[in-house]
Order: sequence, then structure tokens, then C-alpha cells
Amino acid sequence: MNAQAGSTLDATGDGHAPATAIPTIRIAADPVGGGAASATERVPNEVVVELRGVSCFYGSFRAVKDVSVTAAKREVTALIGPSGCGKTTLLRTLNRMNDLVPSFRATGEILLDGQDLYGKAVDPVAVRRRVGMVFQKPNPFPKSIYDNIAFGPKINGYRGNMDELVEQSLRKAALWDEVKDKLKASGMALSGG
Amino acid sequence: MTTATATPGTQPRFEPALMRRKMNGTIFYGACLLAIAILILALIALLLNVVVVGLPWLDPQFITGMPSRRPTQTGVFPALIGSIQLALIVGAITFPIGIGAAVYLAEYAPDNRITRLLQTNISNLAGVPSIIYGIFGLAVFVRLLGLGPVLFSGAATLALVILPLVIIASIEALKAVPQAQREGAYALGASQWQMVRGSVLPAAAPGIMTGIILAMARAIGEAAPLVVIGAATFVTSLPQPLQGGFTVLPIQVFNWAQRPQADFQGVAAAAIIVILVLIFILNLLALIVRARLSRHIQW
Repeated sequence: MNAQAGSTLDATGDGHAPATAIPTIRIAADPVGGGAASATERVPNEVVVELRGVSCFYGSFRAVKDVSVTAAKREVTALIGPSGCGKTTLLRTLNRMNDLVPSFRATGEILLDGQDLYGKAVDPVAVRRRVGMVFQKPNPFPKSIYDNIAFGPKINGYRGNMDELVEQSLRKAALWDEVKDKLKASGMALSGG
Repeated sequence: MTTATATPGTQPRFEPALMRRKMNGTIFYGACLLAIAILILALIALLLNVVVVGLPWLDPQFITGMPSRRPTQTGVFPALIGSIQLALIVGAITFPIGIGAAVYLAEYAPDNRITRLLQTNISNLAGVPSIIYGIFGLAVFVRLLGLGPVLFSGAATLALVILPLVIIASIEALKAVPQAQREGAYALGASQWQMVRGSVLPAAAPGIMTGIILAMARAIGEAAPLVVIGAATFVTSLPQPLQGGFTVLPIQVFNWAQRPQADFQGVAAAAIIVILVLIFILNLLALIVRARLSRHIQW
């Protein structure tokens, strides 16, 4: 654990408890090729996402207050906190999903590989191409199972064999055997679990 | 929310009044039943009247025949073909413009005063009497654009009549799509158009198509604006969209119903049956299209 949470801890002042110090848990991915290096002697992985003094607002409501945290390559970083403390808001800020909320505003610096995600020249669509997101609730499109999986690659101009990619993706998700005979069935018929 | 301010010693009391609450429910149930009964009775009376008067006149010759001065020999073929052509042209105009306008207002337009003003105005247009559209169509399509009193002028005018209905129904269908559908597409790196095309439109399609087809059924039944446009009442040749006189079923009914002879009342009723069948087919189509477009949708 090498969480660097924000420094300010006072939740008073605006009547609610914004996320100031969101605890993060890191689970290091096993180094590829067999564990020669143990977690204790491992050199820290390169930082990919870095937040510096980030606050998020919905109108005048401050949902996230002055959070500074980093996430490293090839590690799983988890955000933990009570309901309503701003975990989702913070995550949605990382791929500009909150741009869709008209009253949303973020201050501070949000860096991906050193580049400010909220810079003037940054295209939110390009950001979301690189920062993926899996939602709290399953979110299939009103299309067939096949088209649901093909949608992402298709809109991003995938030129390879789509059938192969769909099969490969379903195999990786351990769903292939269940759905291989009903790829034309509705994606919304799948159970969420 | 106020907290209970029970003074010490006294228990807060409930008055369940279960009987009265159940009675209220029964009264409301009865009122709803009455409403549907009135509706069904009125519909049955209407249909029964039309069928009793019109059915004896309805034969193959009536469907495929040309109009005639003699009620026994008259037919609705030009009017039937006119109505079908009209419906097709109205659909072809309404489909792209209606959906385009609705998608703009629901997905692209910023949520500001101008957008709301626009939307309110479209809602108001839906309430404008159709004869006003007829006067507008006469001025613009027939005179200004010089198309003359042809089928296309009538179809364009009727398209204007139903466009507000189509746009409002489509906006409602688009707004009913959960925000999560938009976010899901965006999260995969979709542009706004890809999001609309791939996620929102398929989800809203059943509602949009239902709105369009129901609006087309309304267009098929309209007579007033076409009278103003100059639809002929006695046409013995099949209409061509851009030249020559045309007539449609409601105009034919209007014409026959005016005649003093009793036989023509029967002929008019028979033509009404033809309109009803046409609208029934259209509604059936709406049902099939809706079922087909909804096959992947299970919220």
C-alpha cells in the first residue's frame, strides 16, 4: 500500500462530507514470467494516472474535495469509501464522462501519462478511447449480443476480422459457451451476473 | 419532514379506516370501467352504423371502379390509389424531417431558452386546425412554387400537418432512453453521432416508428386541408403525383355524403369502410414494425 491521499481532512464548511481522503488499495499484478521479484523488494511501477488537488462540483455542490492520488501501471487500484462520498464522481472524472452532466466542473490537475485530461486541446472522445469504464449496472445496447460486442471496435475503426474478435472477447469473458448459439439474440437478455 | 411531537403519556394513534379506503378504491375502479364502457359503446355504435349502411354497397366493382353519377356503378379506385400515394409521399417527407428535427432538439440542442421556445412552438403547431395548413399549402405549394393543385401539394401540406405530432412523439421516445445508454456508448469512445446512431436511435426506434405511423393514419383521414388545396371531387383517372387532378378517400366521402339521394349515403358509408380498412392495415403495420424494432429491447 502506497496510497497518497489528499492532505486536507476537514469535511466541515459546506454542510456535507466531500471525499477528501479516499483510501486506495493497490494490488500489484504479478510480474509476467514468474515471480522473481517479491512485493517487498519490487520497484514502484510507473505512475499512469495522477490527480493533484482535484475537486469536483455539481453546480455549487462540491462532491469531491481536494483529492491527490496516483495510480500506477500494471496495478489494480481500488477506491473505498461510504455511500455518497464521491467515488463514482471521481472515476467518471477520469474519462470525462462527467462532461455529460451540464452543471459539472472539475478543478485541479488530472494527468494521464503526464497530459492534462481537461486541457483545452484535449478531445473527450479521444480520452474515453484510452480510459475505459465498466459501469456499476450492466449496460447492454438494444442490439444483438454480437453487435453489442462489435460496437466498440466498429466505432473505433477496427479493420480486422470481427467474427474472430467477438469470439475471442467472449471467450476471455468466459461467456462463449453460453452464448455461441445465440449471438443474434438480444444483448439485453443476458443476465447481469 | 416534521418529527412526531407526541406529548409524554399519550400514544400516537392511527385510524386505519380500512373500509373507507377500500371503498375509495372500488369507486375509482368503477369510474375507470365506466370510462372504457362509454368509449367502447360509442365506437361500436359508430362502426355498426357505418357497416349496416355501407356493407351492401361494398363489392369488388366498388373497389376497382371509377366514380359514376349512378350510385350502383360508382367506385373508389382513383380515391383509393390517391390515398395510398398520398400516404407514401407524406411518409417519405415526414420520416427524415421529423426524426432529424427530433434528434436535433433532444440530443444536440443546448438546453436553453431558445430550444424550449422552439419545442413549445412545435407543440402549439400540433394544435393548429388543419384547415389553416390547407390555406398555407395553397399559398406556398400550389401558388408560390407553382406546383398547382396536384397530389404532391396535398401530400406536402399534410406532411406539415403531422410533422409536429411526429416530432413531439419522437422527442418523447428519445428522452425516454436511459442516460446510461448514452454513457455506455461514450465510454467505448463513441463520438456523439456514433452514440446517437448506435445506441439512442435503436432504443427509441419503436416509439418513433409508432408515432410516425399513427400520424400517417391521421393524414389518410384528413379532408379539410385538401379541399382548400383544390382536390377534385370527381376524378375518373388515376392520380399522378405531379400533374392532373387528384382525389382521396375522405374527399370522396365528403362529396358523396353531400348528395341528396339516399343511395349515395350508402356509397359514402362503403367508402368509409375502405378508409377504416386502410387505417387498420397501417396500424397493423405499426404493430409489426414495433415488435420487430423492439426485439432487442428489454429494459
